[in-house]
Amino acid sequence: MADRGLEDKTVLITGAGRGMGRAMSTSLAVAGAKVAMIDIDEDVLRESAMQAEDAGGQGSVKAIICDVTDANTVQTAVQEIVKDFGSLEVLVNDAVIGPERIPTFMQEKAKFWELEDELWNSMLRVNVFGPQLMAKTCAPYMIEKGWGRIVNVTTSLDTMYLAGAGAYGPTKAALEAHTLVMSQDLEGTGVTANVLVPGGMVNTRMIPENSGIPREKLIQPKVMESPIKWLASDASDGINGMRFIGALWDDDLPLDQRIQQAGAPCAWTQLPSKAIYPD
Amino acid sequence: MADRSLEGRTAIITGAGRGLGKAMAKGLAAQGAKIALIDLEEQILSAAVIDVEAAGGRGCALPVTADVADPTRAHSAVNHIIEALGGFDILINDAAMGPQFFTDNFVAHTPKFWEHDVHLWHRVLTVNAYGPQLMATAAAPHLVEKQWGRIINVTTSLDTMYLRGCGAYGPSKAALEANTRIMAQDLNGTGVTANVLIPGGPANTRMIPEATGFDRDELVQPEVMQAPACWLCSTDADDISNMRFIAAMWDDALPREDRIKAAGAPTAWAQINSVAKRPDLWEEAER
Repeated sequence: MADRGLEDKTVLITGAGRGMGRAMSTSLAVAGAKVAMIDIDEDVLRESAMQAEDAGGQGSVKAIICDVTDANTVQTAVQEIVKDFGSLEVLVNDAVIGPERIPTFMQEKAKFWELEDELWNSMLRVNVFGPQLMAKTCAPYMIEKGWGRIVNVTTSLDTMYLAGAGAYGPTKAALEAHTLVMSQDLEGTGVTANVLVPGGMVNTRMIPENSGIPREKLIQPKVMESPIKWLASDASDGINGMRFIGALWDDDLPLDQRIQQAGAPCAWTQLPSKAIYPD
Repeated sequence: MADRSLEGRTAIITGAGRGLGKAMAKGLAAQGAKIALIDLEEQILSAAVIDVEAAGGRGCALPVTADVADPTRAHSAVNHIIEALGGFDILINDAAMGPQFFTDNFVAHTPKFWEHDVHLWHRVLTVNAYGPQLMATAAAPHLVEKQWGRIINVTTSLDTMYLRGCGAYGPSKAALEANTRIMAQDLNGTGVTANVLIPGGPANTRMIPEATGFDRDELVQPEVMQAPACWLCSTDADDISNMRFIAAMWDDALPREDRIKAAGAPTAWAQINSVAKRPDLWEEAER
């Protein structure tokens, strides 16, 4: 019998239709959470929601088609989730437009001036503004309850300046920085904000089939499952403003060693360069 | 007589109507460069042209009113400048919407992320991150063809990128910082360089409103941008790309290598030893 430790939690996951969002949705449902799954793509979302509900039990899942950058749609979706499930404790911002939308990605590196302006802007809107809009809409419910989680999926620090991937890296740099802003704003509320990344190239649609890389050599989406279950649980109380690497998360280690191995401060706070302020 | 070592060069400077942009425009003009000043507001721009011409001589400044976050207008502004001035050599992306749009005092009053207006948050993100991308996209082919050029992006201090209370300001600058590193990689070997130049702390511009209570004289003065900007635009910096420079730490009195060492660092957060795990099959490009 699986651990049903998340039975008192409702989790909202964006980009839940495939990839890591799907893996996290299913594993959270198995752990007893109620899972509200958001995606813009109806077909994949329906399939993913069925999979999560099969795993988690009837009534554990709610699927909503939603553009995470549309304020009205997001507001309606969140209200509906709170009404149906009774509360909302955890937000996982996983929805993203990835570099796979660039026709030559992983074939030849498109130069920054060869990219479609509109695609660059769409990445910025979906990957940065989307999480802000979702977090702004969800945070008041969590703060009122005095307990909550915002988990933003960004990327490896060096992927943030990966050439040939268009706005993908820069948008993740922005979301990483913004997570640290969120964590400061949330101090003392019982709500935390952290980053979770897989730790490298993952076996999702982001790595095109024609990339020539054997799928089994990629990181598998399931590396996100254990850390997200921990982040969504009471066991991660007090963990705020950190980033965790799914591929380095080892359930066999004691918790403090697990955190030490897979965790680090959010963003680039380790760097000594700081703004000079007047006294 | 001032050093006129930028004679023959033309620079496009966005956000040139005031603040750091205007200071850099004056600095480059004083060294002989022609300047195309881009800003949103015509009036501000007209006033800036007078100042820039006072520094560089009559006819050295061309005002162009444009919203750098509008693809059509960004591209047409660059085309217009090429026609009017016969080309250009330098793009300085300075236009930005600062923290003052979210709070008049980011020291004492820091609105929470859930309190910000969503449209404002998105607008600031777009102007500060997409705007420079658009301008650089419009500019790069021209510079690459000439086999000499400069892209200078004004971001912010690394810790200001996650400064609370400033809405999308910090995150947008993190995106631009990362994108500068991408630009530098893409431009490697073309003769065009891409670097970051920042003041190094809150500067005496409209971005730091009076309500913050800082002594204006103790803020970083916009003029600190002039010397490093001029140097980056000179042939002495031909081999300098993919770096970030802190203007407040720039000391012209030092020998070249010491100056670079005192004020310079790699772009972004490349010093942090945390890298993505990738299958060996994917060739690792130098980044």
